[in-house]
Amino acid sequence: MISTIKFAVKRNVNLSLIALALLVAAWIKFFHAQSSTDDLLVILTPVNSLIELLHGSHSAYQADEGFYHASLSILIDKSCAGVNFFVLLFGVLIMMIVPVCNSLPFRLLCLPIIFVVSYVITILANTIRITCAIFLLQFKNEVPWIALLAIHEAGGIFIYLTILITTYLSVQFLSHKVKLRYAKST
Amino acid sequence: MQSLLNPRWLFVLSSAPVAILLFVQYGSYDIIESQLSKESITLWIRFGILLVALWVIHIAFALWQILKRQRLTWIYGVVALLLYIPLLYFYQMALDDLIPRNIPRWMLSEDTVWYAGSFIMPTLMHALIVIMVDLTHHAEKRKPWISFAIAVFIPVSWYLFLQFIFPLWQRVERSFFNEHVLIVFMITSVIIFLFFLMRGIYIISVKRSGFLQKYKLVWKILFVVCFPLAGLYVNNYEQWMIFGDFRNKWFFILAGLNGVTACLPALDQKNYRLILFLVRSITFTYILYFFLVFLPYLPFSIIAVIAIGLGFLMLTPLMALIIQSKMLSEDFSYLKKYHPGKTVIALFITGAIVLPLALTWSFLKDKQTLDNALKYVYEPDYSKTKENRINNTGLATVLDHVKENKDRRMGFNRQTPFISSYYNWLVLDNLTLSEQKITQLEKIFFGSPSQDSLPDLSFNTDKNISITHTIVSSVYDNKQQSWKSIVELEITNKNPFQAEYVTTFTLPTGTWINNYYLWINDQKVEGILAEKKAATWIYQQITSFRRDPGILYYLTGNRIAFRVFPFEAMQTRRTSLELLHKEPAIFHLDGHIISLGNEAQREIKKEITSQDGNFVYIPASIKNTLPLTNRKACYYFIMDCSAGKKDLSAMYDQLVRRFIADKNINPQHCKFILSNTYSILYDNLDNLPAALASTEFSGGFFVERSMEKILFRAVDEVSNTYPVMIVVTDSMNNAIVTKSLSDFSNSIPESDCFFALSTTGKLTPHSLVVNPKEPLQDTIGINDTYHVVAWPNAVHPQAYLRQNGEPSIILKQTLIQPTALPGQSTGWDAGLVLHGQWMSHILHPEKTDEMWLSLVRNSFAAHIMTPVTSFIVVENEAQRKVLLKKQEQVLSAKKFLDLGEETRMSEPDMWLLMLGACLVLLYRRKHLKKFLSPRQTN
Repeated sequence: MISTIKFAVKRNVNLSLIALALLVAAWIKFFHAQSSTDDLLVILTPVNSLIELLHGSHSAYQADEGFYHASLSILIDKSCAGVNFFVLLFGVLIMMIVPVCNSLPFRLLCLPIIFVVSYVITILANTIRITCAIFLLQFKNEVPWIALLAIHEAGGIFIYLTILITTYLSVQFLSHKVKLRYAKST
Repeated sequence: MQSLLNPRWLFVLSSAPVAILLFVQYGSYDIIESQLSKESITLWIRFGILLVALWVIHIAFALWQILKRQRLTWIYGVVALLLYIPLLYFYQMALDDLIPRNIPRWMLSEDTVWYAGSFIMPTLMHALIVIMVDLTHHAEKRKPWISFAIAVFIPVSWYLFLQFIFPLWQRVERSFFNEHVLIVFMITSVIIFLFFLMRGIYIISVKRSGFLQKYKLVWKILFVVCFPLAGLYVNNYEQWMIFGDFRNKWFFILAGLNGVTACLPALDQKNYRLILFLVRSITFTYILYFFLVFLPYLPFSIIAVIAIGLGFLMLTPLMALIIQSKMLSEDFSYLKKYHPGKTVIALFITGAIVLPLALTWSFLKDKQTLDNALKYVYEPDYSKTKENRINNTGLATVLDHVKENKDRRMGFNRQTPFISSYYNWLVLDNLTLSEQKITQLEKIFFGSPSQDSLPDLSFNTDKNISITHTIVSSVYDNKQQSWKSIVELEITNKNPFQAEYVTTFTLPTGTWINNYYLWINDQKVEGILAEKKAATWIYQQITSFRRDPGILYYLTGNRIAFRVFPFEAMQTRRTSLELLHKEPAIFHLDGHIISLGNEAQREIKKEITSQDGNFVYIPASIKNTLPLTNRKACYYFIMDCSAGKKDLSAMYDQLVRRFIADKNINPQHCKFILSNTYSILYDNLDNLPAALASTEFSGGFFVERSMEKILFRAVDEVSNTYPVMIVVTDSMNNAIVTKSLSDFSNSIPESDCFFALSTTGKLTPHSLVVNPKEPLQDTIGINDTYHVVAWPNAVHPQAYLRQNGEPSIILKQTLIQPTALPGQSTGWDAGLVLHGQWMSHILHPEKTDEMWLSLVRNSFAAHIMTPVTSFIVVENEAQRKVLLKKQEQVLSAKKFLDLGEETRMSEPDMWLLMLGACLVLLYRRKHLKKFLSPRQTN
C-alpha cells in the first residue's frame, strides 16, 4: 500500500514537473511568435559570433532586422533563432531525464540544468545548420531556386534531427549506465 | 474501391480540404472585415463556427473509427451528406450577405465564391462512394444495367418534368417553400443519379464474366478512348472552352495514350505487366487531374445531360477514374506475386510523378528563358561587351503562354484549370507581365512592327483642376544641419463633374520627400510609405471605385508624379508634402513657384560627404568655384542592324565616311555600335565594313541599350573626352526607346542631346531627356563647344559637372555594395545615402536582385521616398491591409529572385521537425531497442 502511494506521488510529481516544463516550452514558443529580432538577441548573438569566427566574416546589426553578413550575403534574424529546435530538445530531455531522477530536489535541479544544456546544444546545432546552408548557397546559380529552397529546408531538418536523435541516444545510453551502476551498488 | 471505406481517408479527403477552406476563408474575412456590417460579421462567425465544429467532429469520428478498427458504413455517408449539403446550400444562399456587393471584388481572389464548393466536394463524393460501396454487396453477382437504367431514368424524367409539368408549376404562386422544394428535389436527384451511375460502373469493373465482360474492350474503348477525346473536342469546339483551355496537343496525345494502355490486355507475362503498370501509373495522373477539374461540376452534370445530351461527357473523368483505378489495383495484385509490395508501390509513385515533373521541368525552362529576357531588358549589365543570346523560339512560346494566361474573354475561362495557376506561381511568381512589357519584349527580340506606344494619358493634366493656394513653412534643424519644409496645397476642381488631380514636378537636387498628408473628411490622414509597384496598383484599383486616395512617386530622374482623387464638382481639398533639404531651393509645382528655406541664410560653404563615404554633395556655391574646362568630343555611330535592314548595310560605310569628311571630324575620334536586339561596340571605324558584313540583321533596333552603354562608359571611365551619339537609321520611328534617359543626365554634363543621321545624310538633334524619338526644333550643331567644371580639380578630375548654378551629387565609385543605412544616418543625411544608392543602381541594374530589397528597406527605415517606394494615403483599414498584402507579394516575389544574395537562414518549421522526429523514432523503434539491449545486459 505504502509503495503504491509512493509510486503515485512520484508519478504525480514527475507529471507535474513535465507539465511545468512543457508549459515553459509552450510559453517560449508563444513568446517566439510575438517577439522581434531584438528580443531574441540572447540566442542570436552567440550563433552570429560563431558564424563570424568560423567564416571569418563581419556582420552589421540593424535593429529589428538582424545580423547582416555582407560578404556571405546572409541575414541572421528572428526566423533563424533555432527556437523550434530548442523547444523540441528541451521537451525531449525533460521527458527523458525527469522520470529517472530519484529525489525531488534532484529533479528540481535538473530543470535549469536541462534548460542550459538545451540552450548550448541549440546554439551549436544552429551554427552547424547555418554553416551547411552557407555551403549550399554556392550552388544558387546551378540549381533552380525552388529546389534550393527545398534543399535548404531538408538540410535543416536533417541536421536538427541528427543532433536531436544523437542527443536522445546519448542520454538514453547514459541513463542506462547510471541505472546499471545504481543497481550494482545496491 | 473497398479501401475507400478505411476511415484514414477522412483525413485526406475531408479534414485536409476543409482545413484549407477555413484558412483561405479566414484570409478573405480578415481583409474585408472592416467593410462588413454587424449582420455580415455575425454570419461569417456563425459559418466559421459551424465549419470548425464539423471539422472537429469529422476528425474525432475518424480517430474513433481507427481506434475501434471499424470501416466506414453507409450510415456515415448519409450523415456526411446530410450535414455538408445543407451547409453548402445555406452558404450559397447567404453569399450576398457574406460578401456584400459594396465590397470591391479586387479585394478578394476571383475564385473566392467557388472555394466552399471546391473544398467540400471531395467530402461529398467520398461520402457517396462509401454509401455506394457499402450498399453494393456481392457486386460481381449484380446486374449493372439496372443501375444504369435508373441513372438514365432520372435525367429523362427531369426532362419530361421540365417540358410538361414545370410550365404548370409556374402558375402556382412562387413562395419560399416551393422554390426551395425544387432545388432540394434537384440535389436529391443528382445524388441518386451519381449513386446509380457509379454503382453501374463499379459492378462492371468487378465482374469476371457475363455479357459486358465479354465485350469489355468495346466499352473500354468507349469510356476511356472515345468519350475523353470527344469531351476534349467538344470543350475546344469553336473555342468554347467552357471548362478551361485544353487545346494543347499534349492533352489529346495523353488521352490517346491513356486509352491505348487501358485497352491493352492483361497478359500473364510479368515483364509486360510491369511496363504496362508503369505506363498506366503515368497516365493515371492525367485522368486524376481531369477528375479533380470536373469534381466541382459533378452536381451540374445532370443539368447538362438534361439541357444538352452531350452533358454526359462531363461524367467521363469519373467513369474513367473508377475503371482505371480498378485496372491498376488488378495489376498491383498480379505484380505483388513476383515483386515485393514496396517495390510495386515505388514504381506506381515513380510513374505518377512523371507528368507533374515533366510539367514542372518545362515550366522551369520557361521561367529561365523569361528571366533571362527580362534581365537583359530591365536589369542589364552595361559593362558587358558580349551579351548572352536569348533563345528566341523559347521566348516566343513563353510570351504566347503568358498572353493566353492573361486572356479572359466572353465570360469563359481561357486558363487551364490548376495548371495555369501553377504556371503563374512558378514562372511569374503570381505576378503578371503587363501588356506594355510583352510588347516591348516582342519589339526588342522579334523586331515586331514598332507601333509608337500610346501617349501616356494618365499625365494629361486638366487645367480646370489646379492648385489655388500654397503655404510653405520652413524650419532649420540645427541638429540635422538641414531644413524641413512643409508645403501645404489647396487644390480646386472647377469642372462641373468629378475629376482627378494629376501633375508632375521636378524636385531640386538634394531635396527628399519624407512625408505626405491628405485631408479626408476634414481629417488629416498621414501617407503610408509603401513599395512603389504595390502602391500604384492599389491606387489604380481604388480610383475605379471612387474612393479617396492620394499618391506620390518618382518617374525618372528627380521627376515626381502627384495624384489625388476624387474631386467633386467645385470641390477644394487640402494636401501637404514634407520635404528635407540642405540649402534653400526653388521648384515649380503646377505653375506655382515653391520657395523652400530662407535664401538669405544658411548657405553651405563646403562639400558634404555621406556617412558611408560613397557620395558627395556639392553645393552650388562650391560648384561655382571649380575650374572651368572643355572636353573633346568622341563620336559614337549607332548603326541600325535590325531585321529587314540588311539592304542598308552597303550604304552605311559611305554615309559615315561622307559625314565625317563634311564635318571635318578626325576618324580616330570615332567609334561605332552595331545595334539590334544586342549592342556590340567597336573602337575602330576601319572595322565597319567587315563588322557589317558579318553581323546578323535580326530583332528590333534597341537603340536605348546602345545609348545606355555609351552613357555608362562615360561615367565609369572619367576622361577628357565626352560622347556625341549619332544614330544612323532610315527611320527613327523604328528605334526602340522605352523611356526618357534623364536618369543618365549627369553622364554627359556637356549636353542632353544626341543626333539622328538619316540615309539621305540629314542630321537632326534629339533630346535624351524629353521624348527622345521626337526631333528637336533647336539648332544644335555637332561641333558646338561646351564648358563644364572639373571636380575636385582640373589636374586629377574625378568627375565633370554641368555649369548650371545648381548643386550636384557625385558617386565616388559607380558600384556600391548594398548595405543597411549607416547607424548615424538620419533625416537629410540618410536621404543622401539613399539617393546615392539609387544612382549606383541606375548604373548597375544587373545588381537589382542584390540591391532592390536593400533600397526598399532603407527607404522604409529612413522614411524617405525613393524611386522604389511611394507615399500613398488610403481611405480605410481594408485598403491598407490589401496594400500590405500586395506589398508582401511583390517583396517576396523579388526575394525569391535574389535567393542566395541575401538569404535568410530560416530554421525548419516546428511541425516538420516534430513529424520528422516521430517518423524516425517510430521506424527505428525496434532497432533502437536492439541497439540499447546489449548495453542493458552488460
